[in-house]
Amino acid sequence: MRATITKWHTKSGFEILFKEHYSVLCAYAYGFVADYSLSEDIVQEVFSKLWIDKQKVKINSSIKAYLYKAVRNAAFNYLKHQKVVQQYEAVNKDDRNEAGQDEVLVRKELNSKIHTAINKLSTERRKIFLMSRIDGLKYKEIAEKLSISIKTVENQMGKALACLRKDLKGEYPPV
Amino acid sequence: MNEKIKHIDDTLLTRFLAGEATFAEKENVAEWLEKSEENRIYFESLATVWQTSTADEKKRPHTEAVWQKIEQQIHPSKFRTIFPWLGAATAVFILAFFIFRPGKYEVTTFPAQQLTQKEVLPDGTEIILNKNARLDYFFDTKTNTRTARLKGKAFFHVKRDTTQKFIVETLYGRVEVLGTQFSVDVIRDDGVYVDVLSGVVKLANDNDALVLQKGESGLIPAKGRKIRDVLQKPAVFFTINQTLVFNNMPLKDVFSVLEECYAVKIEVDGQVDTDLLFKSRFPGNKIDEILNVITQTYGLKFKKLNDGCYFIFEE
Repeated sequence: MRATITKWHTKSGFEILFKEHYSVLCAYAYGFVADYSLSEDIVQEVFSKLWIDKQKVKINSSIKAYLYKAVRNAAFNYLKHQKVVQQYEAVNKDDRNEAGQDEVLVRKELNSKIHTAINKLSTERRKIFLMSRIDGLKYKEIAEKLSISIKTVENQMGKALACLRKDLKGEYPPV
Repeated sequence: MNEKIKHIDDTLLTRFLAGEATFAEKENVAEWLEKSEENRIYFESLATVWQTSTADEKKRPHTEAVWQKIEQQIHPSKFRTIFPWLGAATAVFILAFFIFRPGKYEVTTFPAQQLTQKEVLPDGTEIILNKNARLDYFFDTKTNTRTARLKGKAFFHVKRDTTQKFIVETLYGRVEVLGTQFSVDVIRDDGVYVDVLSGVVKLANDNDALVLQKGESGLIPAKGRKIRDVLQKPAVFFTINQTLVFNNMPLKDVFSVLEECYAVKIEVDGQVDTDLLFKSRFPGNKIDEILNVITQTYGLKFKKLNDGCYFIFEE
């Protein structure tokens, strides 16, 4: 999308930039901090800062590469300052609005599609994937429950996600 | 995936998304992502599936809602009170700018042809244009809208983008979408027929509007103002996904749909009640499989005669 590359410092361009990358960057930030609301805070702060400093910010490659770098830096900073992290967790009692209507409608549809795709996974793989995603268990907990090695859980999770990605190619908005 | 960096694989990326990577691995993933856009795109496709694979709303970011919040932050109101005139000046300036700027959309035209053609629009939307259909596509930078003007019949698989609406304009009304699959058939003096395969679309003319969901169909009539929904035909997307959907359709009509789609002949014994209503969905099934389901449902039998001819009879 050209607008995000060239015109992100205008308000409408910034909105496009935000909406295009916010969700994925949250997943990225989560990879570092393993906390949902914290990862959202990190990404929001990166965007707010970018807007405030938009005149000063020097972008060497693409704005997207810049965002990734900024999220990584911010996430690492948070990891280093666990105290701040804890404060955040205490304060964050999440009073988000409902998602936009359109978003909900499309999400619903994606969900049924992903369920179909998940059902196509082999039994063992599906079980492990659902224990992680639906029950929210850690790899270690899954391994203990099923009496298998963590390595197996890791492998099955990786293969499951790769299968789903392949299966759903083209279905998902940003893919 | 980038072949050169072998140590970043699906297993590690998944573990990273699950928040279970070690500190060193996190750094590796970050470096890998910062290396190329290709890597980022791969990661994003995994991450999107990952995020959608949980039902827990708390685990999924709500982009729209958060944007409302951010928007307020980046648009401080004190600015307006300090320079009230500046806002007005800007508004007038911007308005003038938009009014006097000559339209400079780049229009991509797909002229009418004798054959059905598959095309990709500049935004990534895939279309299948039936023969003699014509389509002009442009991006309206003022309204941030992707616009396709259509004459004739076309199928759309719209590239999803919530920030840039996609609109199909026709003689009798328009179809607005976010990202979905549907077909539009503009028939002169009759109206615009819209069939939705997935997602949500909105039909509108100057007087009326109607929202259609997956599996629904609608008509914007050429005359009269009221937009109405119509029953979706069972084989409307057969050429696209080989799927048939029967919604309480009399057996005799089911059979004629099958005859047309599978180029077979189906003969029915006189004793069979062909007014029975049939409801089912067949995604890419073979004709034998479908007949098997139908006959079993009603305690009937079928046998295959030669040259694509089937005979259906009471047990």
